[in-house]
Amino acid sequence: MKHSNTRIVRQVDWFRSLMLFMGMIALLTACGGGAPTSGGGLNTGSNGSSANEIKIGVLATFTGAFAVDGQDALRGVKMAVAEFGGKIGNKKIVLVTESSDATPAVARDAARKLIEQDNVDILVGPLSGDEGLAVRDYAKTKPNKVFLNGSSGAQDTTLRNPAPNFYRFSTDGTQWMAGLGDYVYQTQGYKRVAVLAEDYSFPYSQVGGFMTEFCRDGGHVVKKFWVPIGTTDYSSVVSSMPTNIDAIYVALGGSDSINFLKQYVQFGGKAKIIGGTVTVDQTVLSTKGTLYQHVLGVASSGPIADNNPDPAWQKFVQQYKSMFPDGFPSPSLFAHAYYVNAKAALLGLQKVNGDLSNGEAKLKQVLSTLQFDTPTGPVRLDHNRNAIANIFVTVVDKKPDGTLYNKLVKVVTNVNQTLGIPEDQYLKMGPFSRDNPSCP
Amino acid sequence: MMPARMLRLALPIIIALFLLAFPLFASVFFVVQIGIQSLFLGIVALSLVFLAGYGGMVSLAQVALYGAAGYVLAILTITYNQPWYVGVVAGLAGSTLLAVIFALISVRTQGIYFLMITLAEAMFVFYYADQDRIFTNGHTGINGVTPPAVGPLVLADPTTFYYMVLIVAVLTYLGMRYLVRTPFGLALQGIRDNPQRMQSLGFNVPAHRIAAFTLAGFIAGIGGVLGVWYNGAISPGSIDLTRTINVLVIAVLGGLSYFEGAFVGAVFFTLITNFASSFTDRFNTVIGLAFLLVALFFPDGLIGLSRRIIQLTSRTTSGRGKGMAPPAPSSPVSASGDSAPTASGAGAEGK
Repeated sequence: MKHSNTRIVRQVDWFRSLMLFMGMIALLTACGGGAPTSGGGLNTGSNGSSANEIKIGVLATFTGAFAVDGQDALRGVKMAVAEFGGKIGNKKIVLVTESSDATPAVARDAARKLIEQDNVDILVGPLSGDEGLAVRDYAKTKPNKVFLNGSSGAQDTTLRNPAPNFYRFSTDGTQWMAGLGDYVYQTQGYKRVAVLAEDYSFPYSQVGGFMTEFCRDGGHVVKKFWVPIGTTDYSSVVSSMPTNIDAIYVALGGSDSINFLKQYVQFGGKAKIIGGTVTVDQTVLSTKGTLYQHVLGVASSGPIADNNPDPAWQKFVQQYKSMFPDGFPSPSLFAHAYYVNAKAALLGLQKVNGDLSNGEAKLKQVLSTLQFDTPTGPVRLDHNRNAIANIFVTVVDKKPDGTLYNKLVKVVTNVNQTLGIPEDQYLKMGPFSRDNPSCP
Repeated sequence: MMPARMLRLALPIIIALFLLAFPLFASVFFVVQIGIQSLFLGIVALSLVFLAGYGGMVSLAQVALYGAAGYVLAILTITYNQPWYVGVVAGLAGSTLLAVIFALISVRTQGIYFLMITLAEAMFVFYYADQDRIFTNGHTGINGVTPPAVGPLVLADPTTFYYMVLIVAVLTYLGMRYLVRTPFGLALQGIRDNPQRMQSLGFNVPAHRIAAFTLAGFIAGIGGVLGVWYNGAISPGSIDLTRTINVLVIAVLGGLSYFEGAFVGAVFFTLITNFASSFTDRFNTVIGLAFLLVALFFPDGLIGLSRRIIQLTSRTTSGRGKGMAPPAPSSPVSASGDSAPTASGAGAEGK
C-alpha cells in the first residue's frame, strides 16, 4: 500500500457547518464595517506615476472599530484636494487609499503597499497612536518619499527618534491637553484628582500632557487607574475610587467613555469629571439619559472646537457640510488632522511646482519651513517636523434646544510639542508612561 | 507517458524554479509583502493543516503559539539585549513548551469542544499580552526587532530574508510530509479516523495527540520567529481574534488535507488582502465570499480543486479507459472513474 494515498480527510459535518457559519459572520461584519464613501472613483489600479499626475496615498482605518473615523479622515483629504481643484500646475492629483485596522503591523503593511506597489509620491496617514510609530519606522527605510502624519497622536513619533522625512502638521496627544490643567486648577478650582485612562500610548500622551500643567500648578493626582481598551465593567474602578477628590480625569474613548460615565452616575459617584480629547466628543454627548446632567460643565481640550467662532473654522464647517451631506454634523478631529496634513502637502507641491525629482528634496525643504493658516489658526513646524499650533479648551454646555455641545472657553495659541518647557528639560522628564509623571 | 503523470513530475520542478527565481524578476514589494508574508503565514497554517488534516484536531491556538515564540524572541533580544540565537532558541522552546501545556488541557476533548478550548487558550495569550506590563509591554507591544546578520548574510536584506524564509518553509514542508508517513504519522491518522479502534489496538491516543500538538506548536513557533522579524515588532494586535481566524481561513482556502494547501492558501489570502482593497473598500467581503465559495463547493480547498482539474484534463486527453491508469492522488471516489468527476463528487467523499 502506498502511504501517500492515505491522506483522506474525513469531512466532519459540524466542522463544515461551522465554516459556513463563520463565512456568514465574516460577510456580515464586513458589510457592517464600512460607511459608504461619497465621491468615489479615487482608487486607481494603475501602477507608477505618469508625468502628468501626482499620487497621494491615504492610509486610514476603513475597517474595524475606527472605520467611521477613517471615513471622516478621508473626507478631510478630499476637501484639501478639492481646494486645489484637484491639480497642482498641470499635474492631476490622484488619491490612492489603503486601509488599516488600527494595528501597527497592518498599518505598516498598508504603507508599504502604497509606497512600493502603488508608487504613491506622498503618503498621508495613519490614524491612531501606535500605528504612527510603526509608519514612522517604515518611513526611515524610504528616505526618498515624503510621509505626512494623519491624525496619529503618539508624542514619540516625532519627539524621540524621529524620521527625517516624516512631517506632522497636526498636533500630538500631549499638545492637545495644553491649557486644560491650568483651566481646571485655576478656573474650576480642582486641586485633587484621580486619573482613569486606557492603557496604551495615546492616553499616556494625554495624561502626561494634562499632568504636566496640573502638577506644576500645585495640583495632586492621588491615584491612577489604567484599564484595557474595550473595558465594559468599571465597578471595581468606581468602588476603589478615592472619596476625597474633587474630580476624575477620564481619558477613555467612544463606548468606553459612555460605559464609565453611566456606571459612575448609577453608583452614585459625586466627583466632577475632566475629559481627555475624545472623552466627551459628539459621539458621547449625543447619548441621552442620566448622563445628561453629569457631563454638563465637563472641561476638555483638543485640536478643534465645534463652535469656534473664527470665520476660517466656520467656512471649513460649511465646506464640509456641503461636500459631504452624509458626514458628521461637524467635521471631527480626524477630518481636521488629515485635512491639515494633506493641505500642507499640496501647498508644498504648489511651491515646488510639482517637482519631485532627486528624492523629493525640494518638497522636503519647502515643507520643513512651511507656514500657513488652517481653519484653527496658523501652523508651523519645529526642528523635529512637529506642528506648533493652537489648542482649544472647551466645556460641555447646553444649546437652547437642549442638545449638548463643547463650548469654546479658551484658545491656547502656538502650543509646541514640549508645552513651552525647554526641550532638554522636557526630554529629561522621560517618556510618559503609567507611572510618569507623578504628583500624588 | 500520461500528460497528468508528466505534469505531476514537472510541477514541483517548475514551482521550485519559480520560487528560486522569484526575487530576480519580482519587485521588492512582491518579494517582501507577498512572498515572505505568504511563506511565514504558510508555515503557521502548515501546523494547523497537520493538526486538522492528519490529527483531526482543528486548533485555534496556532496563532497564539506563533505569538509566544515571537514575544519571547522580542523580549529577549530587545528588553534583555540577548543575542538573536538565544532569542530564537528560547522562542521556539517557549512555543513548544506552551503547546505541551495547551495540549495537556485540550487533547482529551474532540470536535467543537476542542475548538472552543483552543480558542480560550488563544484568548488567554492575547489578553495576557495586552495587559501585562513587565514583559509584553501591553497594547503597544515590543518594537524595533530586526533580523540579524549571520556572518556575511544580512537577513535584513529583503532578498536574503526571502531565501532564508523559503529554505525554512521548504524544510518544514518536507519534514511534515515525511512525518505523516512514519509509523507515528500513520498512527495519528488512524486516531483521527477512529480513536476507539486505535485505543483498543494498544495505541496511547492522548500521548499521540499531545506529541502532535507539541510538534505543531514548534512549527507555529518557527512561523512566529520569522513573523516577528518580518514585522519588526509584535503587539497584541498581531495575535488577536482576527489573526487567529485568518490562519484558519488560509488553511481552509488552501485545503485542510494538503500541506501544499497551507502555502497556496497563504498566497491567495495575501494577494486578496493586498489587492482587493485597491478595487473596493469592502475587501473583507471579498475574502468572506471566497471563503464561502471554497467551503461550499471545494471542501478540499484550492489544492483539491486543481488536482481535480488535472485529473479531468488527463482523462479527456488520454481517453476514458486509460484515464484510470494514473493513480488518483487524493480522491478514491472519482478514481473509480466510471463517470466524469464533478464538483459534487467531492462532497460525497466525506460522508
